[in-house]
Amino acid sequence: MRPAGRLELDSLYFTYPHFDGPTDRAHLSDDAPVAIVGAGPVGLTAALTLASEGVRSVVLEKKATFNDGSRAICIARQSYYILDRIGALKPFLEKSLGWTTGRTFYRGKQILEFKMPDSEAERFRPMYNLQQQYIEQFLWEAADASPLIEIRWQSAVTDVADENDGVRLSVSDPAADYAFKADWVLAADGAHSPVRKMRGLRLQGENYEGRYVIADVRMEHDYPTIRRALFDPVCRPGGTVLVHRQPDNIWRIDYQLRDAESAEEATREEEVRRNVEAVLADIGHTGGYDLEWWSVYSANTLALDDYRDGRIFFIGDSAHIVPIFGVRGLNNGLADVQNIGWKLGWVLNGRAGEGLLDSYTPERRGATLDVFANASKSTRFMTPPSHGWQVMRDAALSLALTKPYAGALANPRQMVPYTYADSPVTLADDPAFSSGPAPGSVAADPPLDQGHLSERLSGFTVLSFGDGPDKGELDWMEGVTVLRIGLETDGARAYDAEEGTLYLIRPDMHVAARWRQGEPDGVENALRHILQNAGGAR
Amino acid sequence: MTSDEFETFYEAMAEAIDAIAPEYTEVFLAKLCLALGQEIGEGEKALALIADCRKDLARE
Repeated sequence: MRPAGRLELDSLYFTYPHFDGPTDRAHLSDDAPVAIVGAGPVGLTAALTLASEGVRSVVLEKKATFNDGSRAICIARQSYYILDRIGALKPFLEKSLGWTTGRTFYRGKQILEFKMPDSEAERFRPMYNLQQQYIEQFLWEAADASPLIEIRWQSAVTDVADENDGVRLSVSDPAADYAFKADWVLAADGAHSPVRKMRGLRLQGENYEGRYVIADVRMEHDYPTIRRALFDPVCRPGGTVLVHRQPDNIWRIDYQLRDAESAEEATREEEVRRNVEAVLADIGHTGGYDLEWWSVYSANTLALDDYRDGRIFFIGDSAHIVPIFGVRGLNNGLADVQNIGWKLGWVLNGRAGEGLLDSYTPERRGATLDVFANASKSTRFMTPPSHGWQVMRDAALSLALTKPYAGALANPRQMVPYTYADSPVTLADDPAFSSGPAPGSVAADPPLDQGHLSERLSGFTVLSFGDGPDKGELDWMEGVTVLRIGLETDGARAYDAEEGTLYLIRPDMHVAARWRQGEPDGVENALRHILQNAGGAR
Repeated sequence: MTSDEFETFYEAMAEAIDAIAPEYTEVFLAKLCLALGQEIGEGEKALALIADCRKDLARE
């Protein structure tokens, strides 16, 4: 919502483009390898991920522009690797605000300062703040420049029907209704996913009681990019407030509603202004402010039982809804895309069997359940759901004023990448390793002589340490890259590697298998297992 | 802790509960438990005490 006198897209600082529906219409009913429903951050990233695998896609978006309002603002380190992989990173690095630190206050006194893991050796900061409309703009600019991506705006999908080897999508745009066939569909149409409803699928899980108003204000406010959480502050006794800095002097303020406050009343402009002003007074902001946008939010942990329905895959919010605390909504959605993107690309390129796609749900639904476990802890601390949780939370906050160990309970447990341990395409670990990234986990990204390891990954990558097997012995297959790394380097240390150690890294940067003493045959068998056997068997 | 010290601790708790406003009793006791739990330094022992102390609250 926006202040009186301003329309839905009248932002103080962002100009929403207007996109017409398709004008060149001769080809609209032609078959497509992949149809993507939704041009939000998840849908656009899916199109770019497929394009990076050489796969063409059609993106269908019912709106005429980007999502209004700021919505998601925190992009995690691992998502920057995804943006890098799809060639969209540069504007994100230029515009976003990186951050490492969070501070938690109880009744105005700081009880915790947490730092997410970071160092000079890291390629990216643990977290970046950027308004969602910029995220969408930068992704759209990259997608618009790709000859493999066709975005059809103002195009609503009205039906999805299974056909032999494909799905027939009915589309309605301002000029006409038409249908076309896609081999595969990615449903990135958000929390209220029309595709999910058309398939008769329902999200399962829990709704939490805690409700928040989230408001963006523009102001000259002198505070670094540090997440602030205020418990029981003067401006909101008994409640919780979050304050985040965004680019363009925009600040995100989230404040918890009391049980007695109705969402309807709380989202009236005068009420929002009164509450925002109280928060600003509390954080010592004395200058003026402009109200940009606001919305109301409640925490949910909801997911589909299966992220796949025939030839349709659900990605992002259409598959799962997670609480905001811990910034896992957008980031979890981008990780879905990265996962299904390379798998679908490799299937469509004939490099993998269709069974590889069956690993999408166990890997990504597993990740969502892990997010639920962590986010539920944060949510219970932010908005205690019952008397017992309330008493213990208040006790912990009070104790934290004098005992720092109790403040650690207020740590929001920001997102860390999930380990695909129980996946049909994760191979058993080699017990000879004592450290380094185990199969299923995200590859380490140590600095090399020049740049970072991640900058040299391409397709499946074999890391070969010391004088181990080289390109000639291992590079037998299209899409497999071999990278030799010397011993006594940061790279070797990060991977607990010795002479002859091999790692097999997937296109999404997760470790598929590793051998302390590896042979080319072992790598070849592992690839065959992933792409053809476990992958191919249906 | 000697039995004398334990008795002093018992009495100090009674006095503290009486001294603080009644609406804070519960949070005070919970806070003290968190601090004592940390002092014990053993997770299993602390959890076993929760289980022990849940017993025999209501009249049989």
